[in-house]
Amino acid sequence: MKAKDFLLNECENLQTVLEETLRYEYGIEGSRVFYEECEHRLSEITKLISVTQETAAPALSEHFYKLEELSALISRIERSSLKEYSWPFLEEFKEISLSACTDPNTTQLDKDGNPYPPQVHVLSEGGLSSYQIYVDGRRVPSRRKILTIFFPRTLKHYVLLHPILGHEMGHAIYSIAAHEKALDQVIKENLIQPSKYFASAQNFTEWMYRNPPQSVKVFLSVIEAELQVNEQNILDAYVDFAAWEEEFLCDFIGLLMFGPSFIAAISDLLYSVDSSGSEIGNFHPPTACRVNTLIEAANILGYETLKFDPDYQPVVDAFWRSIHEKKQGNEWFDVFTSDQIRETLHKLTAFLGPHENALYPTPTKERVQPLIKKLLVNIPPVGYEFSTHQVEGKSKPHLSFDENVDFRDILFAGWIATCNDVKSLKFEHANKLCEYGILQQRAIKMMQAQI
Amino acid sequence: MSIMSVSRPDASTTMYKHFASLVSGYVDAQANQPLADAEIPIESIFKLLEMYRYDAFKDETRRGALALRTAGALTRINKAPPWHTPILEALNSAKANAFGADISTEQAVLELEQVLKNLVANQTLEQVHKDHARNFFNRLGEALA
Repeated sequence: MKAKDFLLNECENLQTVLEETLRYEYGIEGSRVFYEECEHRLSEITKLISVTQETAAPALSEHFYKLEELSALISRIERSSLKEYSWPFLEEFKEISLSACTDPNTTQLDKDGNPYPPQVHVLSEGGLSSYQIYVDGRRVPSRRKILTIFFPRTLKHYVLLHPILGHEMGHAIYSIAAHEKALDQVIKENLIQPSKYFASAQNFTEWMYRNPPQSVKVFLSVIEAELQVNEQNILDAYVDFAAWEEEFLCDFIGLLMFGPSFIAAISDLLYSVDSSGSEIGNFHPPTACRVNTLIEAANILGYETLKFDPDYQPVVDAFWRSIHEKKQGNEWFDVFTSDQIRETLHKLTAFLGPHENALYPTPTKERVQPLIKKLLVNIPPVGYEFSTHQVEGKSKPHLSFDENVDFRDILFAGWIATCNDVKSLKFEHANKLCEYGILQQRAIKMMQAQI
Repeated sequence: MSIMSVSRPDASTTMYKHFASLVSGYVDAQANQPLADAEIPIESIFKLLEMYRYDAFKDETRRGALALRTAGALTRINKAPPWHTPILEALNSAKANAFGADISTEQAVLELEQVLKNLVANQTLEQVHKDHARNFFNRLGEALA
């Protein structure tokens, strides 16, 4: 079989797979939209292959990968039918993120003239490193964008760690051309160009090689020995600095979307992968640089100055102490000044502000303390209370419930309740209580919509 | 271990050449006649114009918040020439051909995007916009190798 015929045969195979997927429900919205989108994409790729000459090897190779991408997408969505994830968390997550990652500039509009939000599908697999969001690239031939979100199978109900997906949503937002331009400008003008370490290639290499901590020196010697990476070629052969910029950006977006629970989740997860915090990544800055930046950002946002009643202040203080324990004391890791971080937060807040529910509102004692109070006595932070009251001498049933609890407050309270040595609540148990709380909040919203 | 190693082509030249040709044909299609199967070619060209408008060609879908690497898996990066270099040249050539040298990219793209929106909405196009769009997409198709 010739290459072109083989690819056309594969298109037919994929069409068969797609037909089979119609038997299942993918996501709460069902399968129809997903099926139609994938069928359109397959049809276009098939036409592209059909009009390509057998001798046009680069073009056939290009089409092969387009077909591969579509095949991988369909496989991911097939697996999402297992529904092994925390759906209450996901429903709340969609409410805060879909506006910001909907491309405002498109020809594909609904009957009211509004752009379609991305289709979201979710699956769980693997372990710690599985947290990620697949976003269709801009060059994927498509009508509507599809996001597939991965939760680690081992941590699928650990909702306190799920705020790390705020970082991933940053990448999804950045994948929109207009946003890439605007966000690049924010990061370059406020964070990178004023930085004494990152303003130029020379500054970068001086920071990296002149006086780094011992753990970094060891890492640099390893990449020199193994990969021949040194001061002269590190920015060409090892570090993709544009990717580092994007990672810092997405950390800021995660923090602004989720608040303190983001910093707790990302610092725990990052240090679990790299306990020294000193590894220089091709695409990721050292963990300690990221965490130190986020701790300063949390301070600027005023999260730490929030005051609670004397009964609860010690557990809150203990939470923040646990966060500060993750801060690396060596100033080498403090790559940005407070002013640079403040300006960046200010500009990103203005960017996210117009997107409904995207920004985590500054927490208050009134919102968070009642949630901590319940968690510390092993009660889900949100729920219903059935009681009776007397009406004209008769006992009548009465239902009361928590209203409009932001799930990010639940996550903040969950971390406070578990991440301290004052009144310890086991981490696994805190996750369960918080997941139940978010579930009940969804139920309350449904009930209120019916009233 | 994989049975073969392949270097993935980081380009979409053939796809855009084909879509530019299709879209050029849609511009001259009879008004009020729905375009069959035109949504993906039009939306794909629209997204290319957005990248051109904002000079935002990164189009990488970085994912995975945890910078995981397995022991011994340190790697050098391969800084290949940007995927979009030939496509950007073709876009510039098409813009100059259709609109002349003096128009801004923003102005040209907004006009072309409105044409694409009108095609999807099945609305009549003004002759001058038709001419610009036809010239632009014809030239874009020719300029893409």
